[in-house]
Amino acid sequence: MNTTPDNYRAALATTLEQDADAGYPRWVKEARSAALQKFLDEGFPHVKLENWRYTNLAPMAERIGVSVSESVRSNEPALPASDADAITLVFVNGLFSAKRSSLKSLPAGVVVGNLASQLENEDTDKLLSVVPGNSSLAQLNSAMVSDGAVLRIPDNIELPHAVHIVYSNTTAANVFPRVTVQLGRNAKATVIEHHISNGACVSAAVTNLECADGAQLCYQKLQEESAESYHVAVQNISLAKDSRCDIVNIDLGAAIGRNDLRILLQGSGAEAHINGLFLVDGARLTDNHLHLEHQAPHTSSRAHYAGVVANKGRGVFNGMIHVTQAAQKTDAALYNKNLLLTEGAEIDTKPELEIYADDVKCAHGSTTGQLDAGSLFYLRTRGVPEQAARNMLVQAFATEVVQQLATEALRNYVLNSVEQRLNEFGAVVEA
Amino acid sequence: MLLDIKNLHVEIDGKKILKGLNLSIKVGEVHAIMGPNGSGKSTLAQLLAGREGYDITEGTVTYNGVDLLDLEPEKRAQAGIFLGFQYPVEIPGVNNVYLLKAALNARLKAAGKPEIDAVSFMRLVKEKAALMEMDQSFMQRSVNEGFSGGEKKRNEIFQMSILEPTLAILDETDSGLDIDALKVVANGVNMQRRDDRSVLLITHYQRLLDYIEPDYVHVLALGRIIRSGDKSLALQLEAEGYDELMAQAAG
Repeated sequence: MNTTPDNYRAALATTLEQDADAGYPRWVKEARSAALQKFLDEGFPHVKLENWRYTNLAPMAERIGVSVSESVRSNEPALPASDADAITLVFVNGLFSAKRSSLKSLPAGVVVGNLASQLENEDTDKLLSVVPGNSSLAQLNSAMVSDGAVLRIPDNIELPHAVHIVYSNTTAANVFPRVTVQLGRNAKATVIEHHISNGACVSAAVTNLECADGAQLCYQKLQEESAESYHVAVQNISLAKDSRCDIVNIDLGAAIGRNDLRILLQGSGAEAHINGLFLVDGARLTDNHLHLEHQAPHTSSRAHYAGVVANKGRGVFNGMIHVTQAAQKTDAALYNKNLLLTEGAEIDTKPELEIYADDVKCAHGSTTGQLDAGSLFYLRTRGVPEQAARNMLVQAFATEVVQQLATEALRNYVLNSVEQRLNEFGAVVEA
Repeated sequence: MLLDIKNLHVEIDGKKILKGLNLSIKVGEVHAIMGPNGSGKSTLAQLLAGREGYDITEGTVTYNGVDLLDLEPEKRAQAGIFLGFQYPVEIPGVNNVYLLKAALNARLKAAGKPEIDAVSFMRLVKEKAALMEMDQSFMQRSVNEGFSGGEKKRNEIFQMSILEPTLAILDETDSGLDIDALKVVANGVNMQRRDDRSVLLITHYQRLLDYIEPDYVHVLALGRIIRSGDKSLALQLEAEGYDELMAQAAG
């Protein structure tokens, strides 16, 4: 039984009506209506569902339907510097901003642009489709998306510059960001998706990534929503034969933040490397659900998530490695390690294995602990003040993941963001 | 008087470790404390540096006229106390040089001085690293990570040479070192010797004292200092062991 309040239904229907005149082709409007209906039939994910038992979206459901014009605007958040050659797509409150974006001349055949311009030409099947197995939020996103980013790289093309996709929010409005990336055979690209807000927005995002045979994708997501925001994201990655993805998922903000990351290793020899980091404090909650689906032989995955929880923050981690019968010689390992900085901090962590093949190598583990007292004392005896010493140790803990980020500018930016948040945490553990 | 310990009684989990320890160290002096295993030498060193978990039931510790036991570990370090650990901890992810810069700047700030600039600091690091025969690679590595026992001890003295403490407390700095490493470490300590600095060496074996000549040698046993003398006392202990002295003290 759904225990989430219902007010959002009317609000959503109204918003969709209002958007109807946005100038999209008729079939887009029909597809969106259909998606909305599917979402309404299923409703918000609720705590009676196994995958949602720790994450109650009721507060988010209550905020659905707030439109931009009604809300007060905060200042635009400052963005990290990107180098002059970077390709950037900036969306402010969900809408594409050509002024803030930078689309340099690209190799022939490469498509980098916003969704609205692509919908003219494409079947909605591809650009608005919902991957089977996704939560109802993916339907919600298909229905309500106002714009998003599309990246298509043809066979054998290597994109020389990283693509930065930025969703910057300044109001309490709902935004439905959508990222679609398709890499052709042996193509190579780096995509950085950055969500940052100053207002108390509600964001339901979908990111669909596809790698054809031999493609290599580096995908890095940074979530820095304000402490009053809600951010739930569905991320799908499908990997064909001998393709590879390197993923970094960093969550630093949001009152409730959630990533549902589904990786489908459907071609033999496919590889997935995932690094995740989350910092959660105050009364916030961050939930990472990871599903690694090994469907073909000789596929491998490595997932490493690091969580830092302070004050009354709550972290949730669920990592499932699912190996089908056909996926012989799968090599998969999944680790979650967590730091609890104070009393009252909580983490619910569950690595899972479901293995149907008989010749595989699978490992999983989870550890949870506090800052090492010996290390802390050592730093203090060198004269480092206690709070700075704690920060150093947390930075050290987070560093392994941060080092995986694509550019030095981004690494420094994230380390700085982490430092700022740690200073805000400021709590001192009682011995 | 730089360090003045009067009648110190310390317990750990109800067990008495120090039972009325007295020790006075003036500026410019080098003191050595020797004693059998388990006598409380390390306890004393860690306690002076500010480690928690010790129950101080009686006595006072004054440093430069200030109640030392009232200060946080970082404040003691900023006031010029340095502890060379017996078992230095490895801290993956915290860079050796990064830590030292933070430490040095904390010390300078506490003294009301400006922070050191990057160029001067690197020059200082390279100069001291050469003196301590540190492998250049340590600059890219995390604190003590992958260091052998000897390298860790050398790193302690290297840190000491950068931070220039007023009171260096070296806890069994010589243990686990071969003769060459010992000479490098001893050299590092001797280069620190100045009229305005003191050293407290805690050692189990007399060997270190051949290289770092102490002004005073104390024997810590049965929870307190049972005998004090000059360096000849160390030689006597080497020859006779602790039993005789302890029997006299107990009787």
